[in-house]
Amino acid sequence: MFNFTRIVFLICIFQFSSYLFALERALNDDEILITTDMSSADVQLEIDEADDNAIILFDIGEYSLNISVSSLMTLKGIDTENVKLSSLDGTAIISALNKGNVTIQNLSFDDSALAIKSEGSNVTIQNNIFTVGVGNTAIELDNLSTIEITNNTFHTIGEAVSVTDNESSPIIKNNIFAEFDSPDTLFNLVINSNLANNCFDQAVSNYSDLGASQVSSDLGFASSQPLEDYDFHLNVDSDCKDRGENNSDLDGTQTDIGAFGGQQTDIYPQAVKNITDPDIINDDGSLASVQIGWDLSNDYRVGGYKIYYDTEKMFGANPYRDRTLLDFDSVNADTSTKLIENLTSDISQLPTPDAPTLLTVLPEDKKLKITWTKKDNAVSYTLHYRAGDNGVEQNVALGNVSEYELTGLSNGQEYFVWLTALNKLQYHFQVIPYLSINQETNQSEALFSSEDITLDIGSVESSASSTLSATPEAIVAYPQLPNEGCFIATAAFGFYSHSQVQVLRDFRDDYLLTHPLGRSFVTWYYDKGPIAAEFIREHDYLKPLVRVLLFPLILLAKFLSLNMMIWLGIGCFGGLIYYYKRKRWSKKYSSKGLSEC
Amino acid sequence: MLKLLLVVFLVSISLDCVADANSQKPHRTLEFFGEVYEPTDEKWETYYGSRNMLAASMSSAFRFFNVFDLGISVSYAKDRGKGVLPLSQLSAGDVTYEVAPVELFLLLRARFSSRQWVVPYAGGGYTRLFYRQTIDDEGYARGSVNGIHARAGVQFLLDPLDQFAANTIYENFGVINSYLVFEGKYTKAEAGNPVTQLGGLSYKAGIMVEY
Repeated sequence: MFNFTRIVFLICIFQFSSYLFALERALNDDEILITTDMSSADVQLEIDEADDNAIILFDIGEYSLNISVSSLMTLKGIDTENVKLSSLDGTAIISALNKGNVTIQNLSFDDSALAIKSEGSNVTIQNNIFTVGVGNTAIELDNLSTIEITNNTFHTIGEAVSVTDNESSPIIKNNIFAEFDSPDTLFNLVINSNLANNCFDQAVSNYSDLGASQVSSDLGFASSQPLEDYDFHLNVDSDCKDRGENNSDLDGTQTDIGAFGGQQTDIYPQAVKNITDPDIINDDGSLASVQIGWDLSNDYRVGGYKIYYDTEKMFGANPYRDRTLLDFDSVNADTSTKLIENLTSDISQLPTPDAPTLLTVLPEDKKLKITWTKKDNAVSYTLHYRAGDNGVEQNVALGNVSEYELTGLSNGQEYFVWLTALNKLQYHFQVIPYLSINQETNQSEALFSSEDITLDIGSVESSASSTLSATPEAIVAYPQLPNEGCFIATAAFGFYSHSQVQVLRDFRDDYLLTHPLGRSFVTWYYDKGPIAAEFIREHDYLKPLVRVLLFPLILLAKFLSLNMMIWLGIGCFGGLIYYYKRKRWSKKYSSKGLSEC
Repeated sequence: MLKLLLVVFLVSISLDCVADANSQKPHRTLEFFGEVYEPTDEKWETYYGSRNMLAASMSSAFRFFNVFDLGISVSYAKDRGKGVLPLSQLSAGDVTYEVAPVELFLLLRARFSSRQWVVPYAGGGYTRLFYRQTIDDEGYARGSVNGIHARAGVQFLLDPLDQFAANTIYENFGVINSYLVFEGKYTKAEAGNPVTQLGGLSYKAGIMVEY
């Protein structure tokens, strides 16, 4: 017994050690992982305590920061387009101080007055995206900075690079500049000869020597949707593709211009957009075929797509999860649909859930609040209800929840409510693009994935829960005080929550306040009504008379509250009466030799 | 306690009456209060969770004959609670109750010297009580009713605690005296059918300045 316990203990220790070892191996020796739950001060502390040559690695997510770097180190994002930095207090997001030898790469800098301020020597800024906003500055250089700005994408900016003294000499190569305010303000005090192999979306004639740069109104981004949905990867026809300095792209070709060219680019395409709801093409009761579609990526590096599927949720809780154990089919880059065959569709083995226990049905104003207990094996619930004993049954499909607010009901009407629980055979799908440069490993797949697409193949339903009933009614506040709205009716009927006053109040809310003329009337009435109401309150004998006078208005309000079918019925009935009257009138006068007119 | 206050009051009058002969007489007062407002209605706690609610008020008055203050006061109190379904008598929905009494008052202050440490006072007047009940996602009822109120309190002169500060405030703002004030107030105001008592007791503490 003792030995067995000791063996189990040793196995546990071994497993835990293996986990720690794997975790440590995921980060290189000098890498420090920054996550979105860390504050700007936390990040600064990590930077201050890091050794020389450390790599500060930003996890996927959005950060609001102001940090300064004074050691030799690299600040790097895991996935360029999905690591977004903005300024916490309006000053520079990253300040590289005078010690120098800092590399900033694979990061996206969003709306900020200033993204990077450099005061040091040997600063490298590469493979970043700058979308700092109109009138704002991407990079500012002070105090004899020597800096290399290569393979970045600048989009929607004021100044790209601003040099505050003539002795700084930035090298600006292989960058894309698009949607900038003006060529006059794009570069400030930058020496022309240091500009080479850049792409611009408008002419920059005031820089005489641009060194083999490209000017094109369409720079060929993979997606040019509104800025928040841009995909700054390049399409196959882009003028910035294979136009950079050196043959240093990962595929061995000439370097692409922009944030996704060169040796230091990340290798992750952007997630697929618009995955369509899957269709069941064939289902024989035991196996089914399902077709799924998506929008093709315009990123020219995408070599194909992997379609992952499982009966359990895959990516909802963790869009970056390890995918090595998941089933998938592959298609090539120009295919936007896939038929997935031989999916199990036999629901005979699916356990039927117990009937849910309906706990409460609480009435409120025109709604019911319903709660119940969840049951094992239930993945969703159906709420059934009907108005009165003889009403038509209606159903509401719900997710795996234990409460629901049933709205749009009529006050004063009793509703009967019951529930059934459903167990479903579901498949979850996800489409992930991968790069052609390295399609054999998961490393080249898009890191990020959106929510799974879910398809119900079949379901089994529980028996019904017990039935409860409740009657919605208008809530009144305590103490019940008179309102100076609906003044006359309140005075005539005596109190605020009288049902006839409520009819007029509903008429005001549902009809009068929905168009300008009605609103004007309500404004006028709120001004004059209290005077008449006060007079009625002081003269009791007037109250019955006012109630009689209000009766046609209440009747009209009630009629207008009827639904369209009843209106159609009234219209048809009126039409029939008119038709028969007209027929009788014609007979009567034609026999006397009179014309109809 | 009352005896002690009375003794302090009489001593402070006797010591200061002669010295005050040439002092400047204030003609206006301004008061700021924080208060605990406790409605008379006994069911209040059932629907709003506690017997009382926090309130704030300010008042301004004109002084005549050196002992009478005629002024106006505005208060505001707010509470959150539950509503009720009239048929089923179940508690439901969320309700915000706001009340803002506007008061015209006449006070008699037993103040015989500008250096009198303790000044008791009492008075009362007319109340116009404005209310608003907001039921979340449903609407609101608002209105106002007439009422009356009575108030009494004690004010303690603050100037001797820091005469230099008192002089500075006088030079910069014209404030002749500052007081710490404790007050109790009873309001009676009825509304609705059946009649509901909206008034109640207020326990107030604040600052008063004379200028």
